[in-house]
Amino acid sequence: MAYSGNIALVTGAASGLGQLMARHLAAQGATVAAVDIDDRGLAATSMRAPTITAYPCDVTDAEAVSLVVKRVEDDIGPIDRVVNAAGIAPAGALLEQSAEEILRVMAVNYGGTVNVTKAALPGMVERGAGDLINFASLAGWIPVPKLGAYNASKFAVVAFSEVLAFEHADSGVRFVCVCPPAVDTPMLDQLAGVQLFQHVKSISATAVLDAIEAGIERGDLFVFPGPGSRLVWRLRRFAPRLVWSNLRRIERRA
Amino acid sequence: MSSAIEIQGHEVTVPVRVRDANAWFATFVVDAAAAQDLIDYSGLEVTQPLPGRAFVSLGFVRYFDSDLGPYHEVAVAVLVRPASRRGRRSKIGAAFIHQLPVNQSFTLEVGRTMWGFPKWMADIAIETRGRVATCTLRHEGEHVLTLSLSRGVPVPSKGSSVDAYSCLDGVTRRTPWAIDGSGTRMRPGGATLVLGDHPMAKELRALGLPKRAFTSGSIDTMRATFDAAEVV
Repeated sequence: MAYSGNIALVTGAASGLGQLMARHLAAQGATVAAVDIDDRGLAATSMRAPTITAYPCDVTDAEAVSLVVKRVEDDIGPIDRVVNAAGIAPAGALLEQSAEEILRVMAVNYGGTVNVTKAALPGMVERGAGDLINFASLAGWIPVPKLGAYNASKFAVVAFSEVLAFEHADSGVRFVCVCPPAVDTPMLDQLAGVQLFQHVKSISATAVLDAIEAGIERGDLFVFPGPGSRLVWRLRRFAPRLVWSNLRRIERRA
Repeated sequence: MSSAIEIQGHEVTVPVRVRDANAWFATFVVDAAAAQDLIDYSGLEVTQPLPGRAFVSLGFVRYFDSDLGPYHEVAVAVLVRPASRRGRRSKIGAAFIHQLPVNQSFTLEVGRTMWGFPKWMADIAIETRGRVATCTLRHEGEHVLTLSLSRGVPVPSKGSSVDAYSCLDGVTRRTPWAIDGSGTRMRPGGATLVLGDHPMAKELRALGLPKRAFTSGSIDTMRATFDAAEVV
């Protein structure tokens, strides 16, 4: 059944999909803890929204994350939905990016997901209820030239989510790993230099959120929003060379 | 009505803007006399596009980013003749908002105070599953209605200006709305309506609902501006 819970924690809530998820949940009546490193963005998210409370926090800081989760549970109550939407996507060829930058992407996209999950999931497992929604990406399955750092972090989120779901199959917690294609959000601006994104049509953020709710209801672990996303995923699995030859064709068009 | 008010510690000024919302609506052709009975308290007159017939619309909206915060809303609107303005009468119809349940207290208070909209508190669940969007409206646990709408075909999105009328505590007001958006879809029919036993459901039943919708539609990204209300 659909989310009818009360208390949600959303990371990356200062912009893009995280922000829309926070508003989406608030609109349906949930109390939302909005987590992000960007205070000003959080202020915009919680403006005129008395049920959204800003909790500024760097998700790469495990200690800060566990303090925030504790504060949210003390201030509001037990969390019954966690949304790991915090993410960055600096574009560039792997040898042109510094190791530091590549590891930073891993720390935010994958490390943030790990930190928040470690802090919030035990409570949900103990209560035997809740939703854990991790934002991976179609780039968690499909390699994209000049997006290697992001790819690696999202491949990690996919694997982490799948094992996590397996390890807690009978816990009462519902797990979703959402793998959207290009979405109309500020992140897409960071990807202007990536050839592929000049040749694919982006989908709306609302379509992603609706696909998540539908996926949860069906009991799907992996959700592929947007027309054709699932097909692309299958192609990657069953015809990996076809994917590479297509990527090469697109690169040559540059 | 004043153009700047303070509600729950926030100052709200007109025009009030909606930057991102999803809206769905269905329009039904109903008996004009029954529709007139429903809105007689406003002193307005229903438009009869066909003799003896009136248009009633049911809509539901998810507001994500607006000056009134994030919330869900259900609307019952009746197409009416605009009240005469300085002696002339517009030929274009206007929407009389008869019911406007919402699920958040901030928008409720602003809506009632600033424009006299008939907002009241309800539980409003809106779900989309594939091509169907479903809204379930409950009031204090009692089922009011469930409206399911099938997705239509894309049509050009053009901005429109509509006068919205409302009547709260015996005062009828006009509020200018400007609405535009992208991803507008329409289709004939397409609505399934189930009514409960709540007074609002009984009102709709008195109009001959549920019945086949004339048209239904949706707007993926709706933007809107609500100006100051004036008493008519």
